[in-house]
Amino acid sequence: MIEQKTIMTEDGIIRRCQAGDREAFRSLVEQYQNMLYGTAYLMTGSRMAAEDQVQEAFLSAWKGIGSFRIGHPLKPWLVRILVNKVLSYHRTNPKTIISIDTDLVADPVGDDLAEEIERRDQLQRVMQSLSEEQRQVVLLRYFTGLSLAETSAALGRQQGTIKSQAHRALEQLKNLIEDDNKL
Amino acid sequence: MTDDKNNFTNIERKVQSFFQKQATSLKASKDLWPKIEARLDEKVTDAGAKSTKRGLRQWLVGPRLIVASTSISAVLILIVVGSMWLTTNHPANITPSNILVRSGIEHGAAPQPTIVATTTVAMPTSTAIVAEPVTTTPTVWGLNPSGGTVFGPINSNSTDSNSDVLDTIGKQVISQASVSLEVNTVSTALSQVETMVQNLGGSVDSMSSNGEQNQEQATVTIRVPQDQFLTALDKLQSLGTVQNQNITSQDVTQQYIDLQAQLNSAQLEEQSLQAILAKATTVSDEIAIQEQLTQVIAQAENLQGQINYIQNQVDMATITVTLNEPTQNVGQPPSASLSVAVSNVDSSLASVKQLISGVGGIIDSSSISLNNGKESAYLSLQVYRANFDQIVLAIGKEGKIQQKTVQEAVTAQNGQAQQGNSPPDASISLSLIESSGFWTTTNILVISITGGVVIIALLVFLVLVGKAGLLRRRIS
Repeated sequence: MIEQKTIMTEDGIIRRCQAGDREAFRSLVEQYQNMLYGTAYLMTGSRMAAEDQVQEAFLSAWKGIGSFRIGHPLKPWLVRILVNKVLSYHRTNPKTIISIDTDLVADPVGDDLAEEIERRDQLQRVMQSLSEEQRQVVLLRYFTGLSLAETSAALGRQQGTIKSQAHRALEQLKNLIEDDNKL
Repeated sequence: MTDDKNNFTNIERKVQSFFQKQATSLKASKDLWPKIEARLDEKVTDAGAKSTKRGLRQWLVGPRLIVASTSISAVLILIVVGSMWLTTNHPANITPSNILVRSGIEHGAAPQPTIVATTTVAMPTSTAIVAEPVTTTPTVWGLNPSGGTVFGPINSNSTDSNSDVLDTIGKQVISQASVSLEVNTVSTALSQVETMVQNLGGSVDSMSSNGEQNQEQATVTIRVPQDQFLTALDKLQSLGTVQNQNITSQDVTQQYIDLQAQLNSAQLEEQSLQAILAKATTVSDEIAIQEQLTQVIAQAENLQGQINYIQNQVDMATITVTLNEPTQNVGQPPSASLSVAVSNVDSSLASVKQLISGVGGIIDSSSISLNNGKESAYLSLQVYRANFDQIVLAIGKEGKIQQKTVQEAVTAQNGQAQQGNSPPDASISLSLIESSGFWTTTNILVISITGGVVIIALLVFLVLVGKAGLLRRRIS
C-alpha cells in the first residue's frame, strides 16, 4: 500500500517535471543522486568522472523526460541513461582503470579513516577480480539493485548473457569472499 | 543442484550486503543540484524542441511512416504534374504576363471577365507611353485535325466571327512546317503546288530540283498566309504519300513587344533631338546633335527592319515541301558471302576452282594463309546469275557452313534479263577455313580458367560456411 503511494507520488513528480517544474526535478535528483553517483563511481573509479557523468545523465533525463511514459519505473530509466553516459565516457577515455584509492580518501564520509581504507581495499580487490563486463553486471544487479531484465536493458545485452555473466562473476567472487571473513 | 543454488543465493546476498556497506560512503557531493540547475537553465529551451522531435520520430514508425511518405510523395507528384500541365498546355500561361487577352463569348456561355490590354513601357525621356495594341487574328490552340499534333495557332472562322467583340492583342506566332511527300511525278506535283500557293494567296520562295531520270527530287519553300497554313498543309498531303511531316510554332510576342518599345523610344529620342537641333545656335552643337541624330535614325531603321521581318514571318507561314519519286529498281545481281569450315583446304580449293571454271565463272582473287598451323583460303568469284544458286549450294557442300549471307538479285524494272552476252556479275566471296576439333587451345584455356574459378569459389564458400558454423558453436 505504501509502495503504491510512493509510485503515485513519483508519477506526480514526473508529470510536474514534464510540465517544466524544476523544483520537482530537484526532488528527483536528490532522491536518485547517491545511487547514480555510486554506480558511476564504481564504473569509472574516479570521483570527478562519476560526478560529471551523473550531471550529464540528469541533464539528459531532464531533456528526455517529456518522452518518459508515466507508469513505468523511473530508476531503470535513469540508470540506463547513466550507463550510456559512462560507456561513452569509457569509449573516449579508454585508459581509465578502476583504482578506487585515488579520491575516496580525500573526503571520507565513513566512520573513520582506518575503516574506510579497509573497505576501500576490499572493494578494490573485488572489483579488480572481475572483467569489465562482469563488473558492470554485478554493479547493476547488486549495488544499484536492478532486476535481470532492467540490467539487460541498461547494458543492452541479452538476458541470457547477463545471467551467465552474473553467474561467472559470482563464482569468481565466491572464493574471494569466502577467503575474506570480513565479507 | 539445490545445494549449488542455495550456495549462489548466499553469495548473492553477501555481495549485495558488501555493496550496501560501500553505498554508505558513496555519496554525491552536496552541490550537485546547483550545478545541474545552472545547466538546466541553459538548456531548458532546447528540451521541449528535442522532445517534440523525438515524439514525432516515435509517432512516425511503421505504417504511419509509409502512409505519411506516400501521401507527401503523392502531393509532390500532383504539384509537379499540375504545374507542368499548366506551363505547357494552358494557353493563359503561355501569354506573356504583360499581355492580357480579352475573352469572347463562346457558345452562349456567360461572358468571361474582360481585361483591357495595355502595355506600359518606361521611356528614357521619362514619359510613359502606352504601346499600341498590335492587332492580329486571335490565337486558338488545338489539335491538328489530320495529324493529331499539338501545334500553334489555328485561325478558325468561329473565332473570327467574334472579332468585333474581341479586342485582342493576339500572340505573335511564327508557324513553320516541313513536309516530305512521295509523288508519282515530281514535275506534275511541282505545278500543283504552285497553283495551290497562288490560289491561297501565297508565294513560292524558292524551288530546287535534282536527280536522275525516274528518280527526280525537288524542294520547294512556300509562304502562305497564316490563316491558310492548315489548308495548305491539307492540300499538300493530298498530293502524294506523306513520308515525314514536322510542324513548329514559335511564340515571338515578347520579342515583338520589346522591339516595338525600343522603336518607340528611338523615335521619341529622334523627335527630341530634332527639336534641340532646331534650337542649336553654334555650328559645333549642330554637328554633335546631327551625329547623334544619325545614330538614332539608324537604330530606329534597324529596329523597324526587325519588326517588319517578324511581322512578315508571322503573317506568312513557311512550308518547306520535299517531293520524291518512288525509288526505282535498277536491277542488281545476286551476291553471297560464305565461310565454310573444311577438313582439307587445298582439296576444297581445287574442287571450288574446278566448279567455277566448269560454269564459265571468273576467279577474281584467291589467297591462302596459314595462321597458328591452320590453313585458310579466301576467294572472290564472279559467276553468271543463272548459275549463282547452284554454285552457292555446291560450295556449301564442301564442308560445314559457318556463315552465309546471300543478297538476292533485284530484277530491273524494264524487265531486262541478263543473258549469255553479259559478263558474269554475281559475286561470291568465299572463305575456306580448316576445321579443328573441340580441343582447340582457346577452348582448353576457357575451360581451365572457368573450372579454376568455380573450384576456388567453392572452396571459399566451404571455408566461410565452416567458419560460421564454428563461430555459432563457440557462441552457444
